[in-house]
Amino acid sequence: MLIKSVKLHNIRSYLESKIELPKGSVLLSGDIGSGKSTVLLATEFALFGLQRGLLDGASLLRSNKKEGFVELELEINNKVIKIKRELKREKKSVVQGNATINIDGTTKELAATELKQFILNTLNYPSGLLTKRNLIYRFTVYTPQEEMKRILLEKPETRLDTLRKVFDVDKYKRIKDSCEIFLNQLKEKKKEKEGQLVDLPFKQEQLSKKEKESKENEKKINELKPKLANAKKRVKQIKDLILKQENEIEKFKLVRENLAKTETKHGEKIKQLNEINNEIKELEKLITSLKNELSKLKYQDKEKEKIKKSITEQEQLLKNLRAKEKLIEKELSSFTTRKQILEKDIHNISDLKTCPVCKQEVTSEHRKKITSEINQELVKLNKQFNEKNKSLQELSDKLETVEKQVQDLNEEEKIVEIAKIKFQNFNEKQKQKLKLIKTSKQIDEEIKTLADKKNEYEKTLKETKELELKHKKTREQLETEQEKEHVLALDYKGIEKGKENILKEMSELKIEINKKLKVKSALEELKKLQNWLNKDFLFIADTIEKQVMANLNAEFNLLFQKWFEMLVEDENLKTRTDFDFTPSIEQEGYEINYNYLSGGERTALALAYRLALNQVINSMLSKLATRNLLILDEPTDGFSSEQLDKMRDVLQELKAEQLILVSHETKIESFVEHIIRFQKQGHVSRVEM
Amino acid sequence: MKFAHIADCHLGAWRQPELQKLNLLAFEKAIDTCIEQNVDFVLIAGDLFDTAIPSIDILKGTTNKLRQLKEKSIECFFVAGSHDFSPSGKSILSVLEKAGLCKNVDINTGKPIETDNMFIAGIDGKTRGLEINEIKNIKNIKNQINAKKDKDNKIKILLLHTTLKELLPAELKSLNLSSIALEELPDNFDYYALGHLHITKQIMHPRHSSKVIAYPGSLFPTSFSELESNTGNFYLVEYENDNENDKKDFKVKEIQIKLQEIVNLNINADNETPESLKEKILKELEKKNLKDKIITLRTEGTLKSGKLSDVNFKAITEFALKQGCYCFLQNTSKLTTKELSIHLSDISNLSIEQIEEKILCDMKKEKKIKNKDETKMKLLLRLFDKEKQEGETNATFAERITSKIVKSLKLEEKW
Repeated sequence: MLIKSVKLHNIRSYLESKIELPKGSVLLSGDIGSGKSTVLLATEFALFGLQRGLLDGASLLRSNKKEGFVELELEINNKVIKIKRELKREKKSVVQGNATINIDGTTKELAATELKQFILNTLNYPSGLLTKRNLIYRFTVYTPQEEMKRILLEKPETRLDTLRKVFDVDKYKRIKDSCEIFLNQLKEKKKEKEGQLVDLPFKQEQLSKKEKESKENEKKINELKPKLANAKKRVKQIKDLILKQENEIEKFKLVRENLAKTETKHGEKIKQLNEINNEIKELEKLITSLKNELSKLKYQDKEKEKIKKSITEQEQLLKNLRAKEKLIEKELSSFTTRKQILEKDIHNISDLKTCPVCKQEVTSEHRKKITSEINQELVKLNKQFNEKNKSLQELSDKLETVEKQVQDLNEEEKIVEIAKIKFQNFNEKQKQKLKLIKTSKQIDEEIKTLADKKNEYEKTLKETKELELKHKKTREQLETEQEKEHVLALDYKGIEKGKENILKEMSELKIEINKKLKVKSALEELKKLQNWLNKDFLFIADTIEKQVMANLNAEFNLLFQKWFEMLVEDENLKTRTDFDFTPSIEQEGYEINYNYLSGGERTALALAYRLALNQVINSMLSKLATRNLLILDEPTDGFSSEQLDKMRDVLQELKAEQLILVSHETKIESFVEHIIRFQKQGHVSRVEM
Repeated sequence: MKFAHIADCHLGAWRQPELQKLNLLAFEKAIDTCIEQNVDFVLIAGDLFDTAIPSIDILKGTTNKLRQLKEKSIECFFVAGSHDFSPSGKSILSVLEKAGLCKNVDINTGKPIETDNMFIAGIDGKTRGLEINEIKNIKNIKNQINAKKDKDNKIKILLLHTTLKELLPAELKSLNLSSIALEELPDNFDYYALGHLHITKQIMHPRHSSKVIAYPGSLFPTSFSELESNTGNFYLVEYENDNENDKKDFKVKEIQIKLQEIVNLNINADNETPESLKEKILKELEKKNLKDKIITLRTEGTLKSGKLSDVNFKAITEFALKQGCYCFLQNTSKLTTKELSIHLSDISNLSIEQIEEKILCDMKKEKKIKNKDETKMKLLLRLFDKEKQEGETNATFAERITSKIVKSLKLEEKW
């Protein structure tokens, strides 16, 4: 690939500039900050777009400008390709805008990633770089000046990792990592299978036990079968005998029933008779008592009539007396009232000074006169009152007497009534007694009849007792034999059931064991695979990686040492890298700390490292289209004058078809074929062609 | 007459600050000795500094001591060496000379010194032995000297920073370094104050036994190999002119500059693992008293497993520093691992896919894998080369890979 021109619009210190880049060695010359490195960054942007961590929009787009673009003209495999990428300022960031590509006059608009993919394909870069930082470009073509020394100072692991990616040898790391991931999965799978097999020996042992059990069962069944048959036969025999006996016994059953009924009836009748006899006794007692009572009482109907008449008369008298009493009481009451009035008048008059009627003065003589009159009336009243009171008293006494008489007459009447009832009762009881005596006789007769029947039945039943005893014994025997048979039958059933279960279990066990044996076989295979991966595969992958790295390291080392010796003044200073590409500086074999190097020596080391990398990668990835292009950005920082002189040899040795150098060292101008001068005035870079 | 013959100080040579400091201290001690011994002058036969423009700190220390010499009226004469020489003349030596602290006696860039009793001249050392031809063709010096009579009492000293063939150490002979033979040296001097080879040796002139040709050695070891074997040295030379016998008598006394003691450890790493090697080294260190010493650890051999970075040298360094060592230096240039000892010639220039193919093929030949395994291997290398996609959870990713592998390896029933 050759860069023909770079056009910048609103990129950093450039407003509008086009830089034509010829073949051969080109020096971009100018003071520090004149915009030389911008051309290189813009070129990288045009090729690969913005790259996180490497190239961001905000660092490219000129401040205070809303949009900008880079247009790059390239020659790749004799084709002229023009790439244009835009930048836009948004609120918070600067983003890529449209991208266009023009190939031999045909323009096409592409998305940013599409363009990047196209470029990667055209330059024969690994397509995996589409989403990653393009380290190959950075390590083979262009490294910004501030980054050149960084790779030397990085941690060995980081550096080795970066170089692996650059050399595309990190695939072995990927392979090993993926293999480890797979081995972890394999380990889990193995664990799973081992878990399934944990109980295999147990299951096998169980199966063996079951087989043994099954055999024993068979033996037991064979022993038990005849015994059970015999037991059944025996039970049948006894049952037949019992049947025969029972038939015999059935015959006497009726007799027994009748006897039972008769006995029951007989018992009931006796009980009844006893009750009746007791009742009769009670009645006799009662009748005797009533009789005694009645003999004491005088009962006559006439007496009763006489009493009734007296009662009526007395009651009438009582009524009259009460009326009189009321009258007298009423009179007494009026006397009392009149008396109260008179007393009140006396009191009033004693205090009276003026007549309430005529309103004349009331004299004391008048008062006295009135008072006297009233007193006379009072005396008269008192007398009357006393007389009446006395009459009342007499009347009360009389009333009391009459009331008592009435009471007595009522008592008498009651007694007569009671006597009448008692007599009635006596007659009833007599009748009852007679009735009971009659019944008693009847029952007695019945009892006698029943007793006779009972005797007859008992006589008959005596004969059947022996038979029943025999039958009972036979039943007992049957029970025993049935028990035995039952036990044997249970045993047999149990063993049969057991046999069935064992066979079922054995079958299940066999299926399970077969499954587990298959799992075991699979596990063996997986183990073999695991061993092979751990032992052989990883070893070989490791060996290949080491061989490749050793190869690269050896090639790199030669180039690194060569470039370094070309660039340093001190002949005693040597350098080499170890297997991890960690550079070490030595003087007579003794290591020198990097910090003891001068600035120029450090730059020489970094430049030698970079040039060696560039050559190794280009030889390894021989199809890279950028292998004939090299960009060196301020590669001589800190170089002494003698070292700068050596750069001439270095540039000649590089033999790049297009070598673009950025330097502010004027001495370099004599080493190159073309010079492009940059100037910055008023924050704007300009190019002098 | 008494003078000091110092060479190859190489001030600023070490990158390690502690050693740089010691290097300067050695120079300071040497100058202190010169002052104590009340020498008449000091000769520095090249490579006072390790570079033409040393650091400020080095300069400060050096000028301080040179100033002290001056205050004691002890002159200091020098020539540049292969390290501190600058073809453009932009060397700090010229600054020091301008400051009056020392004098360059090179016949071209400086000026030979002639007094009543001495004549001192020299040739600056240059890179790659470029001074040798100059030495061989010193005409004007010869003329200058011939102009004088040999029988004058002046001591004639020649400062050279060069490689003398006869004194070239055996281990350097194979390097085909440019050197000059004794016979080719200018004849007319009494004392040849040499520098450049870091050896402490003096020999007699083949034709004139009283003439001394001497290398004092470096004032302080300037390399790791010197640290392992040398101490710092310079010469104190007493000169007597026996006029009666027409003899110039030189008594050359070697002065050793010993600062920190050096402990050199050589550990064989053959068949060790990274862990066992670390333990082995620590065990050796524990046996020594490391306090205030310079420790050089050279580890050589082939580890039987692991990588070099697996060897915890950081812990070893920390241990040594914790034991109070002055400085800890390690050399692992000849330490390798079995993993690195792969027959790279078999797989160089092959692509990754080709390397994969070759390795599988080799393993099949060695019967480490079977044919069917090879097919399975290739299949799995392809199937395992998967990445988690954006938004994919770990569980889903694991499931995806597993189901793919199970299906491809026909493990459904067994799974």
